[in-house]
Amino acid sequence: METEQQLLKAIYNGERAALRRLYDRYSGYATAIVLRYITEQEEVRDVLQDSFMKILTSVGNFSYRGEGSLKNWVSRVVVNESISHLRMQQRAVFTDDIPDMPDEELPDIKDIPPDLLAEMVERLPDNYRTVLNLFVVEEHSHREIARQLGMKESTSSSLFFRAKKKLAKMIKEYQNDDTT
Amino acid sequence: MNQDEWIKQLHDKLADREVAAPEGLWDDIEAALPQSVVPQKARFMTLRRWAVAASVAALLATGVYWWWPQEAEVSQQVSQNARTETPQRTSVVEAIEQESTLTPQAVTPIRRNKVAHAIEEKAPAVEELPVPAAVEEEPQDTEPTPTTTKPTTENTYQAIVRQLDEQITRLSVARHRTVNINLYAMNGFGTQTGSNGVIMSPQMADKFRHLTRGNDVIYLAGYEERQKHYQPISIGLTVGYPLTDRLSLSSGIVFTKLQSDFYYIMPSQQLRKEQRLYYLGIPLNLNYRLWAYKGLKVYASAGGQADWNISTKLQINGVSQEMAKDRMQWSVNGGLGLQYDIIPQLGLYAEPGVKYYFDNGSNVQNFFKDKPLNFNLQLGLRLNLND
Repeated sequence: METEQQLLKAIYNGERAALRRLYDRYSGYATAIVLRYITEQEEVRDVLQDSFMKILTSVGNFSYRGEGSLKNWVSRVVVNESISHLRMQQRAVFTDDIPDMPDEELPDIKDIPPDLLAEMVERLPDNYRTVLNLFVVEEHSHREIARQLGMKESTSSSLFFRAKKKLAKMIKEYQNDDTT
Repeated sequence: MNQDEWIKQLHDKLADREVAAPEGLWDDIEAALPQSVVPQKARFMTLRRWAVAASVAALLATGVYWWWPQEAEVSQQVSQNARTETPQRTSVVEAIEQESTLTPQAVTPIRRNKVAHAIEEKAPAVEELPVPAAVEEEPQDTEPTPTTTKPTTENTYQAIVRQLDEQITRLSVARHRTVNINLYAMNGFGTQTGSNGVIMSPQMADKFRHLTRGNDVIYLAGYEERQKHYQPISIGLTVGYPLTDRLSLSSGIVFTKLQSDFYYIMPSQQLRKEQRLYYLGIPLNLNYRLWAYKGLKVYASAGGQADWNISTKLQINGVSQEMAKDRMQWSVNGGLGLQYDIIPQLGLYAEPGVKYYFDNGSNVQNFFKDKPLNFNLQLGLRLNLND
């Protein structure tokens, strides 16, 4: 399989087909990312298109830092596009001062298929889902999330606690349904 | 289940998923793409590194080329001076450091005296410079009485005078536009000491954050921390390049040492942590000559510096410990310099200035974080090379 470095060299050499190869290689990954943040089909398509336009027109300025760095960069562009879309739509209202709730027992998720888990995350309210994704999947700190979404650090951690609780509840319900 | 473990499982299940992209998306993208998407400057990181290395080498090589053929004797003298200069400067600073009870106000006059002394000591060495250099400095004195070879005819005498004239014109032009190399030592003013007993460190407080509301400060009982940040000491070598008659750009390398002591005082015991951080920095400064008379120059300088933490040393109660390196440190600085050219090729300068260190966001505690805005004094030798 072509390495990221080989792919980038082909792009820098002006091979237009290499752009298509970049798209083919990462479009599935990018689609899964956008779907984690945005649920409306039409909007998913728009955000994906905008993301790839950005990626393909600025890949020339990307500095390669080892295998995986291109994929990483693609994911950062896509996450940023998704978030700015959400913020533009004002759909995710990131209100401050949500009181914390006591922590509960977390259910085991070893046996839950990833697609089902993704679907559960999709069902979370927009602001819960956004913070959960950024914290868990993108591994951003609450401090970074607060800066990205324009809210207090404590709000980010509160939203995460709520998202976690809600997700845990969904998982427990699924597990109970499954056993009965 | 442990929360961290749960988060990790969730991450692993979700992070690398792929979902088929919407039908026909590529066609839309391709239709909207411009003809050429690759700018000329696309390069790999490795290439860039080579380019940087090559340009540094080229800069050094050019400096040596300018310097070497004309100033062989001067350079030898200077390198001797430079060698004695550095230890003296450090010992002065160390002496000040050892007197930990001194306040910054008390430190300043002592340092000035010792520095003046150091400069006096150097002066005789400079007087021993070879005669040709002295001739260039004050040519009028030597014109009528050349010491060894007295001209016998009017013609040869005139030829020598003409030659000297040419040299003087060349020098006076060259003196305004010269490439120079600087060797300097620098230290910031004021050792910082402080004691703020009882606030939890941010990392530690994060673990208890869920017990509090918002960003409340969490206090520790029966525990005190004291810290002392010694003034930074820098030694640098820079090369200046003239842009116009008055303006010059200088860059080079600077080595900085930061020392801090931390005391953790608990009811039953005391912990002493000694931290030493070594930085290698690249400054970039713009110098503007404000005033010049004979060998004396006053100039203003402004610029920035990037410092990389190349080495760390940590001892806790005398036992060496591992310590992660600090992040890159940016700073900006400005200053006013006074330079005296002992001979046209060599000047002594003193440059009081002010420096601001940007917060680099790391958890490393050092002088830069404790006192981001800092006055300093830079003393050095400056080699002026003919353009």
